[in-house]
Amino acid sequence: MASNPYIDGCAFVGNRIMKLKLSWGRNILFTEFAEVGPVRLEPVLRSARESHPKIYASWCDGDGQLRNSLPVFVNGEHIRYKSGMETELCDGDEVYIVPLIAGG
Amino acid sequence: MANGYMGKILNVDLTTGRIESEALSESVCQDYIGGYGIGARLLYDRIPAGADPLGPYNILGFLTGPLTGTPAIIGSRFVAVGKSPKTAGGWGDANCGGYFGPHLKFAGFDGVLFNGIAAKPVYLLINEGQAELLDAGDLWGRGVTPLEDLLAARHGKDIQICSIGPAGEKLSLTACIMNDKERAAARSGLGAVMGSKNLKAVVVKGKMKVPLHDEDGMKELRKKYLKEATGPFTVFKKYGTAGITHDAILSGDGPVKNWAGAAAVDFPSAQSRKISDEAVIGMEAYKPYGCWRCPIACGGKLAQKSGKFALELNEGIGHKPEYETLAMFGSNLLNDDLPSIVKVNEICNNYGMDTITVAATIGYTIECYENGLITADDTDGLAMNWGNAEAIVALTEKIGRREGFGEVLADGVKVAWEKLGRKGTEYAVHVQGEEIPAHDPKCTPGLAMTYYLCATPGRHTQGGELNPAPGLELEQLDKYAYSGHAANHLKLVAVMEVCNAAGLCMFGYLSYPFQSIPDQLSAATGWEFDMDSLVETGLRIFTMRHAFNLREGINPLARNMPGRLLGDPPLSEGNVKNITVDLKTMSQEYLEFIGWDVDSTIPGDESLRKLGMEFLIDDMKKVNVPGPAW
Repeated sequence: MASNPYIDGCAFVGNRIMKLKLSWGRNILFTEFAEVGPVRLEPVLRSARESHPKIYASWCDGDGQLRNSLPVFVNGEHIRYKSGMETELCDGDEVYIVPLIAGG
Repeated sequence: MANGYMGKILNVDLTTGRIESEALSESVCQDYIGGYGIGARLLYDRIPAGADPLGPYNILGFLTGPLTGTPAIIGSRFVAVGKSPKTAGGWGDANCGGYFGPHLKFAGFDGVLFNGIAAKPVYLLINEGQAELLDAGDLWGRGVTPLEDLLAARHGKDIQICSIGPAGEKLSLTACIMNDKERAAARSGLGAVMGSKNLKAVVVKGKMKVPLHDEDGMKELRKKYLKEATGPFTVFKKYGTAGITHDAILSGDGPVKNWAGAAAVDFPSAQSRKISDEAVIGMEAYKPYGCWRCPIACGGKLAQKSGKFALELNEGIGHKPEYETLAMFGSNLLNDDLPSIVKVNEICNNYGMDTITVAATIGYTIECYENGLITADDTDGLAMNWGNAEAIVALTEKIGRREGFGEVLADGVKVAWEKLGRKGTEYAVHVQGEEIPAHDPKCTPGLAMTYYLCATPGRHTQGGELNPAPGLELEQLDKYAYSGHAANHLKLVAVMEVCNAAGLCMFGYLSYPFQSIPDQLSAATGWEFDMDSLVETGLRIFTMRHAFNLREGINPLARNMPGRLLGDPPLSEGNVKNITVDLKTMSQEYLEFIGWDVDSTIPGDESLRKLGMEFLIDDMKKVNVPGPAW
């Protein structure tokens, strides 16, 4: 069974792994998650705190909380049209976070 | 004279050929910083109200800031200023990087102001503090690329040039002012103003040094802050603005189908990836390009030597299209053919045209064509369908030449709409004549205020809403709550006004800690800057540019604001669906917050006094503007 090196502290039991891709722009943070779905979006994002601390920090406000304005898309749709951080993710879903929008 | 400045500007009367140096007032520098701040203050006094933007009484200025040409991060910018022929004769300005700005200072001047009209085409040469007007008879009609090659052969490779191409000569309102072949001071139609003056180019050469209050301190600040690169630095360093194309389109920031479409339905991720990040820097012979002393180098050059869209200039080497160009000629036209966008970029740069304006005008044309309002009989036989790359390239060339149907489109969306008998009003997306850059207010509602209220409407490099500087303290608010944003908006507007006026690049502002801005300004000038003084100075500049418009009878609240930009009616698909921006609430709260009348936008006496702008009080009492559109 392929382990997910990015999720510390998760116990990998049997086949309790779902295909779940989390990307921050071009950076693919992981493609599997140590749960069987559905899982809530928020813990999925929080799982990046230890594996990708710098990236995770850029998602947070000064108090270390995930920013309300974080542009998160599940299967291409903004989570404001789903259930926000409570959005449930299933096997095969793709979570994409836009790093920035600024350009000229 | 204040440090950070060369201490003088050049006044050039093109009608008489008289050239005079003028000492720059230290108090004006301190109050208005530089660039369009000083430009607005000087031109308010020097351009008579009601002057024809393409006539002799308009003044075209090229102005730098106190951080231009210094160790500051990133002091590469200059600003072109004047009365705009594009936005109802209001204030016009356009900001540009490259190498011209620093070298104008090294040639001895903080800026040059041109008035009058030359009897025949001329160009100005400034060489180590000495200026002369030279005959441009043999330069007229040349594209920007061959022009720069010819001038470099004539005056040496150590010159820097800003110039117009054929579009400016033909007074097209799509025209911009170019430097370093493919960097553009694009907006406000100032290329047409330069053309109206029979001024083909400004050539600068010099090795003078910018005096600094604390030169060692500035070098130390540069070292310190270069180590603290943050925000979009990594993306811009690797991809340039092309790096945001996919994400902007996906998120609802980028325009899709002339602002009426949704990426999910009309231009899905697989298509936007074709004109974004890896696809762009994966092109043949890609090499990063940086403006003067830029640590990011977000630009790039690439080769396209074969195929139906092969580049014809510079031996097939062109500049990498910026995000604005990729999105406006890409998703906005449902065009995922990257080589075609590289090609239109070359055409626009060589003719000296604003890619945002040209692409927006083609978007309007396509929507009219697709809906049967115009036919191939109107378009010289071109099938103007969504995503028809060959037709888009061909039409761009026609616009540059003002040839055939290109003559109808050569002055942008508003004029094209008028020439076509006001067909397809909802497809004509502009604010008071300025086409909208590739950022949707439905995704960033604060942008609606910038597009609507700023002295130069429809601009993404002003207002600061797109992305705050790292470390700039703002209240965390729900962007779709609409009420309560005034204080944040003022801070964002003011800081961006100061950065633009100082000669700083917006990407330095975004990629390094906010504190670098007051620190560098203080070290360069010797004046102490902090957050409060930045806000006060920025609001003063914002007010000065606005006062120019008020005297011309322009009330921003009376401007048209396309429903598509606000979600009126709302989209039913995509990532900004079901959103309608409450522009009225945001605008009224902001105007009240800064002490301007909420209907006429005339600044109150007290707000002017607070900014030390008492000289405007009498003038503002004479202002006569139409009421708000709401």
